[in-house]
Amino acid sequence: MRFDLRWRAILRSRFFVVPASIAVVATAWNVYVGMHNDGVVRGHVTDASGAPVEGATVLILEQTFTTHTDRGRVTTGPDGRFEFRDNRSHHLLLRAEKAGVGRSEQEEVRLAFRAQHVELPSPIVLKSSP
Amino acid sequence: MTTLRPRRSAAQRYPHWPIHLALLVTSFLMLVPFYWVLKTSLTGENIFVYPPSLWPVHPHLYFFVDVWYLIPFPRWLLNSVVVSALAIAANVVFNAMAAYALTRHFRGKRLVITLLLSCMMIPFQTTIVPAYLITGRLGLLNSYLGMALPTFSTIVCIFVYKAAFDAVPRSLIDAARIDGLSELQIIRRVMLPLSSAAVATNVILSFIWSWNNFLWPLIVVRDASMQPLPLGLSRFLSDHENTTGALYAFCIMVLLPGIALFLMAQQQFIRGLTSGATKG
Repeated sequence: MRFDLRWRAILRSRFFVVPASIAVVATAWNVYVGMHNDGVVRGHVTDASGAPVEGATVLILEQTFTTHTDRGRVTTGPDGRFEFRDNRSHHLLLRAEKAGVGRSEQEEVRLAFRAQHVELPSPIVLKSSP
Repeated sequence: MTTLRPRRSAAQRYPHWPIHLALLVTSFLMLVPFYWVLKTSLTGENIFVYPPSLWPVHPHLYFFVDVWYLIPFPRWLLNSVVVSALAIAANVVFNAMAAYALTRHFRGKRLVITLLLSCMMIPFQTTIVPAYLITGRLGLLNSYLGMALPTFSTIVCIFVYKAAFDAVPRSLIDAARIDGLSELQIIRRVMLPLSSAAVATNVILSFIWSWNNFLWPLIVVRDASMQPLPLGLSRFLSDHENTTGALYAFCIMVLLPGIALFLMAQQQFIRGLTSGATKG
């Protein structure tokens, strides 16, 4: 009985509740990260009029505090969609271009964790170069 | 016929609001730097921007993500946690033993207390060379134990324990001794359970001192992977210049555990510091 009361007091104290809550949140977060870190980046490329662009090259750069590194290139399909499967970073720069159509601005993609599965909400728009 | 009116106390005669207002203003002024650090960590706004924005514009948590991944933050965090855990454990145990000894009567007790109190006035910087030599002779340079060693016992915390132990009735200790408890058992089973506020104070003070310790790790740590967070912060500042948001996010991440621990144990901490203040 005394043992029970003592344990109940310990379990109710903030010295247990706060670290336990942090541990639960951290575990849940890590489970979520583990289920969504497949390194897939999906998006689509359009021209200035909004029409999908087939065969555009999308360049993926990995950004650090001071530098960016070339991580690879993918080509868009007939519907203007692209998929990059080997992202290991949490901070990317994307650039698309196609000869005769134009090139896009550099788009920054920031993720909540490394290799997060991401579908870009807005298209990368190619603008014809002057 | 005159009637006697009860005298009103000073608290009843004067309104409280001026004091509360003054306290609010002071609190606000003291919290502004913390708010500014938090705001900058969420926006990355350069501190030299004019006019400065009071509220965070487009806040996000990506600077915290940068700090977590782009520098060895988890490793430095682990180093700080291990060193602080060692310091806390040692302080709780060794200080209790020292304080219990000081509650006993022995020849030269006054001299020992005077010596301890006078040692408090010697700054750590003056003893750093012998401390380094001793740590080196023990083969503890560049190790967790070496980093924690000088914070294993602090005189302030000994006196916090002593004040709490002095308040324990003498008859209780005598009864424990009659029951066959050894001196160490008396500390563990009688004194410490009755001095939870002093224990909390020891935990918080030793944690904060070891967590924020910069100079000693700077001297004893050689390997970058052994650095605790304050050293890592300094290294980050010198390596990356134009990363305001990440720098402030790093500051928040260093500060957070100390603030959390203090908020959890503030009641016991304040009780531990003030226990013995009204004694005698």
